[in-house]
Amino acid sequence: MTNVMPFLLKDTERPIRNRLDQIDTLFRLGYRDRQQEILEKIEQFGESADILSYFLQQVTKSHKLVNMIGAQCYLLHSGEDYYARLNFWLPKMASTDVIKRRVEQYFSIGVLHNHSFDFFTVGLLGTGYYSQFYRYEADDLDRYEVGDELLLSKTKSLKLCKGKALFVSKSFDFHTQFEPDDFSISLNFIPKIYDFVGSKDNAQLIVDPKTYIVQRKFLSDPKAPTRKEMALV
Amino acid sequence: VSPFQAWIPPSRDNLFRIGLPADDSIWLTVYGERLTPYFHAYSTVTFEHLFSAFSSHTVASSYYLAEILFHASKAPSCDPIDGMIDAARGLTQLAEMPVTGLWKIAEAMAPIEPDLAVSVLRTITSKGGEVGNRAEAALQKLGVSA
Repeated sequence: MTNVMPFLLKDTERPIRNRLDQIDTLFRLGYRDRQQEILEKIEQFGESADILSYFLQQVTKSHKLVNMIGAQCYLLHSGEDYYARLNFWLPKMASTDVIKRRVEQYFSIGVLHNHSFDFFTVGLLGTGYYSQFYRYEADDLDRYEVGDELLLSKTKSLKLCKGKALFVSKSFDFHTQFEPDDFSISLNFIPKIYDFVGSKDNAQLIVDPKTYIVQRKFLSDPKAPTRKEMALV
Repeated sequence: VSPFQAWIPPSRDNLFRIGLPADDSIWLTVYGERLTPYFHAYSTVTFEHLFSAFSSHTVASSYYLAEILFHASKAPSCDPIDGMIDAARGLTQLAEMPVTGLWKIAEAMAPIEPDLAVSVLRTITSKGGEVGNRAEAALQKLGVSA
C-alpha cells in the first residue's frame, strides 16, 4: 500500500504526523527492543480525538476507500515500517438472540486465538473492550494441529480503555475478547517486517475457550502480515 | 441557541442503530461476511430482515468512515474541532458515501457546525427514500426549507 502522507499538512495535522514519524523511527530501530518507548508514544493518542480526524482527512484526501479489511477493522495508514489498523468494538447487546450471535460471529467476540503478527494496541475511544489473555510458553507451537490440546496459562484480564496501551506478541499471546460497555475504538500498530521469534511456520490458531483444543489453523507468511491475516482482530 | 437542540437523532449513539422503522424496533446493521461486506438491517422486535443497505466494499468503507467521525466528534477531548469539521466536509464529498453515512455526518455536525448539518440533510432529502424522508422531516422540525 502506498503511503497516504504526500499531502499538504495543516498546522493541526503536523503534530500528529510528527508523532507517527517518531513511531516509524522506533519501529525501524527494532520494535521489540523499544517496546516501552512505543507504548508511551501511542498512549498519547488516547488523550484526544485528533488522530481520528487526522486519519479521516488523510483518507478523504487520498480517496483510498477500499481499506476495510474485516468486519470490524479498517486499514487507516501505512507508515514506512508499520500498518495502523483501526478497530471498532460494538457494545454488548441486552438480548441473547440471533442478532447477538451474528454479531459475535463477525466481530471476533469470544474467540480464543493468537496472531501471526506482533502488534501494539491503544484504546482511542470509549470504555474499551474486555480481554482475557493466555500464554503459551513453550517453543514448539508449530507441532500443533487441529484437534490437539494446547497447554495455556491464564495471565491477565484487562479492559482497553482510552489511553491504555499494550504489546501483543505473535504466536505466544493468546486472547479472547468481549464487548465493551459502549462503542469503542482501538488502534493497532502492526510491524511490516517481524522480528523473528519462536514459531517457524508462524501459524494462527483458533482454540476452543473451554477445552483449549485447536479448532482451526491458518498458515501465514513468516516475514510479513497479509491483508487477510489482519482481518481477524 | 442551536436549532439542533430540538432534533433528537434516531441513532441512539450506537453503530447498529440507524433508524426507527414503523414497528418501533431498531434497524440493526450487521456485517454480512468477513471479506465481502454487506450490511443487513434486522428488526430487533421480529428479527426479520428489513433491508440490505450497502452493496460494495467502497460504500461500506465510506459508511464506517462516517461512523468514526460520528463517535470521534462526540469525544470530550475533541479539540480543536476544526479538523473534525474539515474531515466531515471531505466525507460528504465522497461519491460512495451512502445516505445512512450522510445521516451520521449530519448528526455529528449538528452540535458543532449546524450549517453543515443542514446542508447534509438537504443532500439526503434530495436522494429520497426512507432516510430522505426522515431528513426532510428533520429539516421541517428545524424550520428550515428542504
